[in-house]
Amino acid sequence: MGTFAARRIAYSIPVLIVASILVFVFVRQTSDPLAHLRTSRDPTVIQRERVRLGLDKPLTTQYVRWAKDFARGKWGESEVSRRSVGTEIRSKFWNTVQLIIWAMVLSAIIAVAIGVYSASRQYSTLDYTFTGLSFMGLSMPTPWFALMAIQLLVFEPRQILHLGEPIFYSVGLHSAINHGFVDYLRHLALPVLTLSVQLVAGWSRYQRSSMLDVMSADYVRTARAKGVPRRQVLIKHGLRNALIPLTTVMAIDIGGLFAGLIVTETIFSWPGMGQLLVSSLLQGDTAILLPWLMVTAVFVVLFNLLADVLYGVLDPRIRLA
Amino acid sequence: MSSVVGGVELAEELPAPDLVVPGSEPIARSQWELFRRRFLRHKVAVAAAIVLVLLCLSAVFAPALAPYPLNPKLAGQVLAHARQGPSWKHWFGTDELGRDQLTRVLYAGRVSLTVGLMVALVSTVFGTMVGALAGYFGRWTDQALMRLTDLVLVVPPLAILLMAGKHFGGSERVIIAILAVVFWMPIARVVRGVFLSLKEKEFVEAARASGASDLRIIVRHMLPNTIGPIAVNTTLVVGLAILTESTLSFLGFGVQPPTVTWGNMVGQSAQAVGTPLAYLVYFPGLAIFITVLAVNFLGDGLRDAFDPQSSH
Repeated sequence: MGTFAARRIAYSIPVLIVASILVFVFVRQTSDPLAHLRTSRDPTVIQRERVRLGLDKPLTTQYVRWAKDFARGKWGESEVSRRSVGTEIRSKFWNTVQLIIWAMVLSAIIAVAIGVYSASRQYSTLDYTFTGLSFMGLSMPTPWFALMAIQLLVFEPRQILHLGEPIFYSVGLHSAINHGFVDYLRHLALPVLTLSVQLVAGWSRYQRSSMLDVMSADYVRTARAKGVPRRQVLIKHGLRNALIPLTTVMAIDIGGLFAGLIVTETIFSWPGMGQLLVSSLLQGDTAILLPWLMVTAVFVVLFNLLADVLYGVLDPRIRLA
Repeated sequence: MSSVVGGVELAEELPAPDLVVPGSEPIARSQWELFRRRFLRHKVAVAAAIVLVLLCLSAVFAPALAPYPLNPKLAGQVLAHARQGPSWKHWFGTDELGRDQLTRVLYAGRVSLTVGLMVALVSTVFGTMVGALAGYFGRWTDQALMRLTDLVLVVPPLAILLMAGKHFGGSERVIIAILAVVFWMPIARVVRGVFLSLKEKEFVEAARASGASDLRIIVRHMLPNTIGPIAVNTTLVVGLAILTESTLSFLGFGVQPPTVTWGNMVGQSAQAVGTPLAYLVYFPGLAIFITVLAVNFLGDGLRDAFDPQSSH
């Protein structure tokens, strides 16, 4: 198990290094760190800043210098707020991780339940209903779903029921006065719902088909033939094995989940990584971009590592191969 | 005919060829005939195809269908009709400037559908070429393709698209180009996978043994067998491209006003949420949703029709 994990880690380091080179070149080509000085009449200011940031050096030298600084934790400072980029990202990162965890755990539970039900009652009315719903989920434009959720779940009930305050909130993490877990959940509900739509739709289809594959395997027929109750076969032989491929899909989807996070956090004013990216881009704050991409890349790689190791734990054939 | 007791006697009772009832003889059906029959059996996919044809027609004939001009000139007269909810005169209502929303949704469909179709076309052509080369020749082309697509899993694509959209500006062509840069990769991976397995098939070996060149083997023998997966994935890319364009435009990094797309209409309607103008949110988003849903059902129908074994 140890060597298996070590092999996976060894593979992910070159991936990260290549990613950092490509991302560095891309960001340097598409953004201008001196844009906020361009309005200045004095060309010596721009020249001085160019030299200070090392922008007069060749791109390779710039990359090496940046990589060293990045590894040492010197991520520069925001061009707008003048705060350290490291502090800025650290303050947002945990808020995003909260959304990721809630959305993934909730989606996984619902998707597995739907998948197992649909596979055990294949071609039933409810199975067809879930199939239709998953197609709708996969076709849902996230920004529109979020806006509709705010309209239909925040404003409409409030108006119809004449409530002083809405059942769910659509702005931020906490109320100004009210703190506590219930308040937190009322803020969390809609962003998590928005993120979960696509996840549940995709994963439940996946869980259903991998469950159907497993249930047609020989050992499942053997278990049924020797008299193990249907329910027990479904859970012990079926689900136990059908969960394994889902971990891989969950890991692959984490990169795509950031797309949902960028939209969701922007709409719900959730102070996280996605909102940070959009507001930095809108304000032309280029200092955030590189560290942002690198932090998410490292997060995605670590997440995939975790899934790989989990895969090895769940399926001994993988780690022995 | 007497009843048959033993299996041996059965053979003797088989009808002679000339006794076959007219019309029941096995018909030799072409591949396309089989494909058409299987597709028509998938009722939802047929309905989706009809919806898509209607949507495309409404986009092409938007200037004729739209009840009002896209950019009204008489500002004062138009402002008198501002902020009207859906009615017979304005099916989708009017916005705060008095612009008819049905007109705008129809015109916006032209851009959104063009972006979806063009991205799918460019990605499919490029992705198929790269995937075919990687799968057929292997070695460094294959390694490069696989590592490159691995990287996309590491860096969130939407973040890259947002930065590119901001830098290169929001014309329709630029958005098509940057979306195609992302979406050719899944197609290349699929084509590569099919080519890898086809390479080992006997008919490819036979073609090679009879002296066919690499190019001829790829184009004449292998590509026709890849049509199914390519068609299915192309439809999926149409849907994904429309969704991604709408997200980019919603956030303000996609196609820029005054060009209307469904995405930037949703973006402009965001501040109407919770106000009496909330109906502005409904229709452009509904248009995206119905279009992508139809595309996805069409893809499902194509999958079943091309490969009957991959049923649900």
